[in-house]
Amino acid sequence: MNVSEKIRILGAAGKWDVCASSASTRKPAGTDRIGNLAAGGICHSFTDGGRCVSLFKTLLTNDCSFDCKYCQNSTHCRKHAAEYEPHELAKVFMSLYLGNYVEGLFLSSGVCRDPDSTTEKMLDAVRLLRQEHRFQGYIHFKVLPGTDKDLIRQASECADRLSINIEAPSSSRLSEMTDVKDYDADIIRRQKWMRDMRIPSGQTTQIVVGTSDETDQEILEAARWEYSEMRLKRVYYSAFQPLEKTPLEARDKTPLEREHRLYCVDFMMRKYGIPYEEFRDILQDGNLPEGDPKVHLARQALDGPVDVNAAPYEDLIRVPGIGPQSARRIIELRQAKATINRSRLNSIGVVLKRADPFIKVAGNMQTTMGEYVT
Amino acid sequence: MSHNAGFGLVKRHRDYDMRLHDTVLMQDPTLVKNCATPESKRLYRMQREVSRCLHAKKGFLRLKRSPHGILYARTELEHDLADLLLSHFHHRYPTYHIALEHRRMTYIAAPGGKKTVTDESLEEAVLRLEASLPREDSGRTDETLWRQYYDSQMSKERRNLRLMDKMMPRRYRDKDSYENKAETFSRSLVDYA
Repeated sequence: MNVSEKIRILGAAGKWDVCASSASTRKPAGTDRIGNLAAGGICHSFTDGGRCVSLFKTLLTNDCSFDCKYCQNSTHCRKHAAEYEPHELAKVFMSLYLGNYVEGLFLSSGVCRDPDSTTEKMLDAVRLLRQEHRFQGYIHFKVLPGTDKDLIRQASECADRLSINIEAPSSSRLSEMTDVKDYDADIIRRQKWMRDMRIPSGQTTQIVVGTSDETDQEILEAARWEYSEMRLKRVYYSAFQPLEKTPLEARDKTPLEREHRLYCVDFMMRKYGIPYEEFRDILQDGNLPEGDPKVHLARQALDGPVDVNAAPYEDLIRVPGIGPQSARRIIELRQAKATINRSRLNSIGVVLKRADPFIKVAGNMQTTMGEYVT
Repeated sequence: MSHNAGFGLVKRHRDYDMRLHDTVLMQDPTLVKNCATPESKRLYRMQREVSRCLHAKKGFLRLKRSPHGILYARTELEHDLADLLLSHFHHRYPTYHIALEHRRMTYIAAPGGKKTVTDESLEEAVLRLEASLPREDSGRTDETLWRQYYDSQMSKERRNLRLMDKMMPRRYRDKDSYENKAETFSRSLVDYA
């Protein structure tokens, strides 16, 4: 099999991992090197789905001894087996990196024979890049369930970010998808090890949304636990897509809107500091209602229109159309005794169209037709 | 933070207006910092346009590699950013010669960090540099490898061309020889349905 075919097969098999972040604050040393890092990351292209392509995201091999029902690489499926030799992978990657096509490497793999031997081979490829090619750019290393602690430690020394996918919000949900992986022993225990290691860009994980009948509540509670206990940088959500020849081929796909709503709530928990408990109040049968979660939250959490000239940061941040930056700006302007009017709100970045139903500016607030109907 | 700290790149904007900048410098720093005046908002927008342009070029500009190991590209920048772009690529590939052509000028960075600007065309500059460099054994960058990889990342189920256009405007694809499968870009209204 030639390299071109391997790129196609292993690239397609690796695309289901969503994380595309290439941000790192690590500073590469010296000038006898290739590659550097950008604190905010750089996107080098976008797919037809609007997803960023910043990393050369690939599997080392698609030969896998696991039996995950949603996955095309599992033992349930017949496939064209492909595998990179470490030097081959390093050469392809460097060729793309020198052309400024990618920002770094995302290396994952099917579990060929056992997790340790596959991880050793992945480590060989990464070491080749770091030592022989003197590559100092971004590397995301996927930890396989069941990998030995010492191998994970070695990975943490040469990669910027490590991740292991929990795939499901709980042990019982994972057992519906696979008989091989043990949620606590193979995955959570590895996350705990990684939590105590020094990893420049931290660790992340991914949940496949909709492979079983799990609710958004289960997913968000799992994410909250991951952020607080495992100190994860990010939890990624991937809407389930039924893939040909998998046991779940006939199952309905998960609407992308559901994935989007989960990302909205996740973002508000991480960046706005809104506790998960508030979102529990807007759940309907354990799931987020259709529409923007922030609008639902505002209807639930705010007692009435928020006076932008008096409300605290915590109230401002809950108004749709006002983000952390514009909320901070409103507070700063108030401290400087500047008047806050509509044109000023517009200037500082408030999306008035979304905010209007929830705010009061200089005593004025939006009214509805209902108020004029007797 | 200095009053002017947020506007480091604005002088590189193609429509930079010194009088506007001076007006903003005279305004209340708190209002300026929070973009609460129309002038500061305008200046902030210009600043953002420049930094977006630079960020986009860092990601979307493709470099070719000559047999002698020179990384080169032709680009067209909306704002005066060629030197910053050159510095970015030099920092990324410090052991390589980098040559970027922009508006009939070629910006060159040598491995030691020395930077020069010449009115040679890109081809002339690359040929001149090659004369003093040994031929490399390693392969050149390969666009076909990239296309194979890029195509493998597509997902029919998640197709959203409007979002793609928003994230990666066409001007970045065309001018920097960003090539793609024709079918991805020749589309009809049905594609958006």
